[in-house]
Amino acid sequence: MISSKKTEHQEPEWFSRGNILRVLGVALAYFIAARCGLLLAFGNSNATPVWPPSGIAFAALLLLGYRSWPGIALGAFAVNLYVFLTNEACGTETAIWVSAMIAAGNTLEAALGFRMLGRSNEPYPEKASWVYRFVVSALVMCLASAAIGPLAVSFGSISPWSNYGTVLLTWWTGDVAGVLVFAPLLLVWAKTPSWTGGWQRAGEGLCLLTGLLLVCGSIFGGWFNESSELPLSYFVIPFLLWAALRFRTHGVTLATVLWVVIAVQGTATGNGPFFSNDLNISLLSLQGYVSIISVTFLTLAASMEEHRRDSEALREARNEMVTLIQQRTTELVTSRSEIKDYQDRIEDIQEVLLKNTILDFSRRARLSGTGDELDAIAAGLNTMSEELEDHIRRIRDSEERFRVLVGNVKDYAIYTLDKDGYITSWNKGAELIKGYTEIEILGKHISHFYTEEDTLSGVPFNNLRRARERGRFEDEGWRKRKDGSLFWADIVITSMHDEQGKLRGFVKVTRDVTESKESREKILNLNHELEQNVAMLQDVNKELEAFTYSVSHDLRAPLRAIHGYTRLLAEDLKDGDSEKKRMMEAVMRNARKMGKLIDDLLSLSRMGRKELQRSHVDMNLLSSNVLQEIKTTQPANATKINVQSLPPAEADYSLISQVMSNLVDNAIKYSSKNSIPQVEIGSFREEGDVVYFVRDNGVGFDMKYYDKLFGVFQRLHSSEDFDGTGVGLALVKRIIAKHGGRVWARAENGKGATFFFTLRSRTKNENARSRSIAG
Amino acid sequence: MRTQEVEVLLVEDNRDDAELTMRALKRNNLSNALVHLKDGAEALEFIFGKEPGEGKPDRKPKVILLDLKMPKVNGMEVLERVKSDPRTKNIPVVILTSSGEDPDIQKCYALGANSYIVKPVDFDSFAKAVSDIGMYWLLLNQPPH
Repeated sequence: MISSKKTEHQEPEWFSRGNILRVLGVALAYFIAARCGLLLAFGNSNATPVWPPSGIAFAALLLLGYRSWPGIALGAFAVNLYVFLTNEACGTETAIWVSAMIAAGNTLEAALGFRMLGRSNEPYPEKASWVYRFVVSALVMCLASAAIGPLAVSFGSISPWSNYGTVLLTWWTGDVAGVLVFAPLLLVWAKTPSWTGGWQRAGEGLCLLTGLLLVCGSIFGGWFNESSELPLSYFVIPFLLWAALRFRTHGVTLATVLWVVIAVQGTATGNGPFFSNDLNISLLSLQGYVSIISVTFLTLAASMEEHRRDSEALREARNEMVTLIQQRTTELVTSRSEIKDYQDRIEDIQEVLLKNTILDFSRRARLSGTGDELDAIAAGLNTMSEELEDHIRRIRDSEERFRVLVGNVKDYAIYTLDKDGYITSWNKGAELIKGYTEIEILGKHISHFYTEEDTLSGVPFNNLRRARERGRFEDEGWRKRKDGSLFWADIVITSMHDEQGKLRGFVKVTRDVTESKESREKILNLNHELEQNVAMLQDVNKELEAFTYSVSHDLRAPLRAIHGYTRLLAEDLKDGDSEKKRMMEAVMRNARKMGKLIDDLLSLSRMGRKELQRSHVDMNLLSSNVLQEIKTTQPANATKINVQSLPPAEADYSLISQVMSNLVDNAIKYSSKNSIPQVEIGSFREEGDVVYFVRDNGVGFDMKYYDKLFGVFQRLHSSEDFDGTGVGLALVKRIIAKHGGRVWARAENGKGATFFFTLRSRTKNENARSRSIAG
Repeated sequence: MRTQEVEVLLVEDNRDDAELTMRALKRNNLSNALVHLKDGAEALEFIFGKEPGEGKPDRKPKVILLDLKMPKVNGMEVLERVKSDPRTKNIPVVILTSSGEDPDIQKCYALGANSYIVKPVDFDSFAKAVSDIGMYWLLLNQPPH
């Protein structure tokens, strides 16, 4: 990068060797320049249109530093004294102080210009703005010399006071022109040209020089006297332009000096377009021409230089930029691979993040990122980080919801354990069930909840071990509350693992099931009682069977003895003992009756135990068999028995025979007092059920005692009127009920009775239906 | 009471039942060669002798009237011994019991009982049943040689 290096000259010490040499050099240069300049003086005067020493003095200060000013003063004094003494315009003494004054003016002039243009700025005509300030400085600084010089000449009576104005003007314009023409030459050539050398450039310079010399010679050399009236002076412009464009400030300043020297020389010798008979007019017009042209092309060249430098700076900046871009591109490629690494790492980190770790990429990026690319990386990372944070937030939200949800569960103690069994979380339910608050219990071991015996025998550890091995462990048992009381707990321990399958801890859910345990125990107790009762009932049943057997066996034997011996006694009685015979008959009748009672009771009891043997029963056949048997046992019976055609049934044949037998027996018995006893056996259909009935025209009964009709030992008639044990209808009811059917009766006192029964219910539904109809 | 030719062996622990049985048989002159024993042990001793495996049973009644419910050795055991021994298995055995409730009825038939009679309370019926049995087994039935 080009930076404008300021040429900070370290000002040399006044009397250092370097400064003294410099001063002497400047003085010599000034003296020679002045001597040469005087050669250009018009006519026999000292007036010169261009005073080179002014430019040399100014350039010397700018280039060598202000401490070289004594050289200017010395040179100026020497040359003026030499001139005055040589042309004997005045006395020696006058020549000295006049020369001193002039030298002071010249020195002041250069110092003033130095002061105005300053050292702080670029001392080279490389900018148009510098040329502008240079011109202004030249115009102002030369006033000092132009004011003092004529004054001294007038005081020394070398020039009359009347000429003062003219001398001052001539002096000033000459100095200005000298500064404008010669100072840039020195300043520029103090530096090497920005354009490179080479044969082509040298040849071009030679062409330019030749052309310029030819043109100047043509204009000011007096080669074409007749055409001196023509404004040939403009022909110099293309060459100066050439010099400016191709050789810039170096070319322009050199060409200008050459051209000016020729022009002044030519004019002074009475040639060229600016020559006039009036000295001042030709002087001024030449000075104007020289000054304007030189300033113009110096400006142009300076602008060119500036432009060149700017474009060079621009090119360098561009090159630098390209380099920078290449550099950055390389960095970017590197960064990309770094980003890739980052991404990989972020993926790793994600997993870590899932475990609630926060990574602030913004911060990381701010800490490490300095370049644009890193900013971009940081931005990318931040986006990722934001997404991750969003993700984490969502996970946290869901965790929070879950936590709240779990936290508020009251019926279950839900808490987590670390892998060693220490409590890491605690919910409301746990607090309610166990009595510990979260603060009290966190960090405590699970064995706190177990009874001492369990803890001593290692139950808590065994439970955790089983949960770890199987993933899940369920158990029930006594657990301890904070207050020491026990409750029956239903527990589930579930193990938690991370992605690698490493154990992270456990979730334990505990429920207080003391009540349900108690009620379960109650039920178990009831069941047990029930079983005992059933066993007892079975025992009772066995006893009953034994009892029944013993009843049938042991009770009948005495009756048989009573009846038998009475019978034998009765047989031995004489015919006259009718009263004894009657009493013995009574004994035998009662014995028989008791035997019958025992048989009936046995039948009834047998009914309760007997399994039904259902089969297809032809009810017509059944009833005819029953009637046949009755006819056998009661041959004297004269009852008219009418049997309708009966539909078949699914029933236990022997039991239904018993029913039919009992009902027909009853019908015959209770109708026996009717003069024309009649019994009817029949059936009809009612709501899908077959109803069988046995009707008689006997004594009937009062329906208000209907309740007692089917009860055991219940009788609606006295034994005096009708013999009976009161078991028959009870047995009928039991048999019908066993079949799932129903039995009922309709009767009226003295108008007979009808007994109905159904035998349905092959299926339970039909059974239920028939029952509901019965109800 | 032991005669050479025993026709009816009555095994009955109930004295009254035994007497009524014998009376019923006597009515039809069927009680002449009747031996009444009071329990199963006596019955086995009578049939098989005192010592087990002692000789050939010399007493082969034409019919055995056997009560089931008896002290010491009950009717069922006697039945089983008689019916399991080839020498005695042809002797008809009639079970006389007080009750049809006896849980062993089926078992008795399975063991080879020839009849199973429930003794009626009514003496007339009882007498008729006993005499019918006597008539049948002693007079009508032709035993194998």
